[in-house]
Amino acid sequence: MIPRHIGRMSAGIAALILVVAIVDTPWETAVARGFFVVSIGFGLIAGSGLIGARTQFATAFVILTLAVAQRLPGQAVSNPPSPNWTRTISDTSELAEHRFSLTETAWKAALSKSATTSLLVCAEAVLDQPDAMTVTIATNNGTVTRVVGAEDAHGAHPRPDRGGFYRMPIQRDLFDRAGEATVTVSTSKTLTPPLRLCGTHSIRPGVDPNASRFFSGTEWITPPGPTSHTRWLIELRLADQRGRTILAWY
Amino acid sequence: MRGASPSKPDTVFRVRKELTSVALAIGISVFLIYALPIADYLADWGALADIATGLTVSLSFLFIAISSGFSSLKISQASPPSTATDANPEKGSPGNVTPLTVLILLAALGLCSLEWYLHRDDRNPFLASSRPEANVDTWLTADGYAMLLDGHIAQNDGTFLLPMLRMFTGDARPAPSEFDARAGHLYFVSFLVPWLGTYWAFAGTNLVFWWLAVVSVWWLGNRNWSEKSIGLIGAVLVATSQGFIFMGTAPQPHAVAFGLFGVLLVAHDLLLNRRLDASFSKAVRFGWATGSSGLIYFVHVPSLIYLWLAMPLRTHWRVMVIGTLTALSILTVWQIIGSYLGLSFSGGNSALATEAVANWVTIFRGGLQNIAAWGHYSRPRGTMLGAFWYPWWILAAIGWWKSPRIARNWAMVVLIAAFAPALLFTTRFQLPRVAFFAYPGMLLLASVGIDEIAKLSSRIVSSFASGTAPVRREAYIATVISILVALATVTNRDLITGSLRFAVNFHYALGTEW
Repeated sequence: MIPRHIGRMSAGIAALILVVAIVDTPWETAVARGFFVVSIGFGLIAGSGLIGARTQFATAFVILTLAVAQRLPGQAVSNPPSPNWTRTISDTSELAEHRFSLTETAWKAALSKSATTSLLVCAEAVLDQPDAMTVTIATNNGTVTRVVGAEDAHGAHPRPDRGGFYRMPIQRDLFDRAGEATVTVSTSKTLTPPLRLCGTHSIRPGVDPNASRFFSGTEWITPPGPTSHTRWLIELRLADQRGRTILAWY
Repeated sequence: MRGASPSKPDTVFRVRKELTSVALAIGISVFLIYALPIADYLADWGALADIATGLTVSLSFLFIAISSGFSSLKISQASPPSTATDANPEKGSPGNVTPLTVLILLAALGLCSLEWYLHRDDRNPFLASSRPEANVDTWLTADGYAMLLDGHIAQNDGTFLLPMLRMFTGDARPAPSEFDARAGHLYFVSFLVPWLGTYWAFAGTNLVFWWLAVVSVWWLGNRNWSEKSIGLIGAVLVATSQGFIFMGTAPQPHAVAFGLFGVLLVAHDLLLNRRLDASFSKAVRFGWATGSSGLIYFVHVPSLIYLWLAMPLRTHWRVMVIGTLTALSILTVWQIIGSYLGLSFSGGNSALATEAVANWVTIFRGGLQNIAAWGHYSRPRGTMLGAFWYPWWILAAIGWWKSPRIARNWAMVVLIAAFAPALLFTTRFQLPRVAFFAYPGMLLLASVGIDEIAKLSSRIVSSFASGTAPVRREAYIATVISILVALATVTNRDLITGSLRFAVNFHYALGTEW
């Protein structure tokens, strides 16, 4: 007797779920929700009946609760900020800078095991010229400056119309006992058209949110980007003797 | 599968057929290797062994499936389940909830939650395996293929699911994407968004189905094997398995789909296998469940293969046809409704599956050389090992050998249903995540393997010690726990040592390395 009674209640709740799902919503949402309430929601309720009437009732009740919750004001679907943006560097007085902290254990451990080190800078659109971008890296062991161009393209993506990495080998000695490294990127004097430098989020915990900055010709500002934690896409890579990357660092 | 005469138990599979299939596969694989054109990779013994293993395993499953089809046709009469045909007729009855059951369910949820929470954010293996340190996509940034979702770092493919999610929350009109066929996943996620936010809504949905997978395997273990320990060990193996850990907090439908496959196997058992009156309505109900699950991601493919292999074809073909048509109807109706709403249902996995089929046509047109070369270029061995690493295969092999015939047959059908689409897809992509659908069969066989090793250990200890029952029991439990901890250490290696090896294997499949 009880299961039959519960079974009727489950059916009633199922009908209520459908009403809750489709009332007062945009018609496209109502149609889509309606289909899935019938196909999945009713299917789950019917399927749980295989276990028992009480389980079926509980399933129906849970789905009704969820359908109501779906309608309540709450958090909206988030809109992820774009992980890829660029800043045009059109004048030789403009400068992009990124500071690497080299005091963390993960860096030190990887450096001790590494055979090669390199610096990767992401740029877009202009590096079909051999001397498009000037990159300088400085630590307390010294400074290295190099003009980077098309022949330094690294990986699958660098193309004149698409962002990609350009790789600059660095002597490992430059990082010995260094607590910090500073990389600056500027345009080549002969450059036309302007250089577009890539940027992304700064996500890793412990990284200084102000590690990247931009000199506009008159003042230092934070790089443009959709969040407060942005960085230039400038990274150090450590590789072992087989050439396998053991650390990507920013 | 269980519809055979008690006096003369007849099943779809027999050991001799399986062993014959493997022997035939080995012979043909060796022959195929001789057909290969001279190439550099043939100078390496490891690569040669890789091709031979890939071809042998693939052909073995193919021949076993074919032999099952022929056996299936021979079985002409269905009879009630009995002790001869039903592994465990008294157990696995639904609705019988005891305090111990509740405790086990809660413990399962606790273990899943622990793994899920430990692998959140940047420690999610799906995301981590795209970082440059994984040495596959070295052109990606240090954070890998990532996005920021509610301030959490998450796997970036989730970006493409958000427009559909907004449609279900009523915040946006439908917008076509490559993932229109997977809308059911976002229907589930949309329930939790107002409460939990987007990141945790995705992750929370995954956790629910992870737990359902554990419960399903526990139930299936109790159902197909007489020892209670098999289901419990299997449940722990699922909770700590590579596939669920990999997908646990990723904003993707895979974990939900994995969980649903376990639930579908339970539903099949309750609706069709345990009852002889496999009526029209039961076939429709199973087809409905399969079709609805297919609205999440791909589950309908292994589920329908299972439907066609798990019961005698000659006696149950109507059930199979009705179930299949119902499942395909559900999927088709959503395509019609979705198209009306402005969705496109183009691109994505549908297009990739078409490309995989086209590649097979090219391979067969190329003759034996191309078929043999598939064993190298499409990495069938790597795909299977990416889903389940060597220890699981060894334990499953022991389990297969020691399991009762009915249970062994059931597990083999599950393996074929999951591995067949994964192997067929290798001509386009190698996806261990598709092969992982085999987890109910694979991990329950591995449970039997663990159980057998523990029993052996118990016997050895009793021969040295007093031999009393408590001592033997303690030895058994200690061995089981030791093996489970060792296996969990492998699947949690990313947390313990920082190594991404198994995450990379699961993401991209192994190459020719061993």
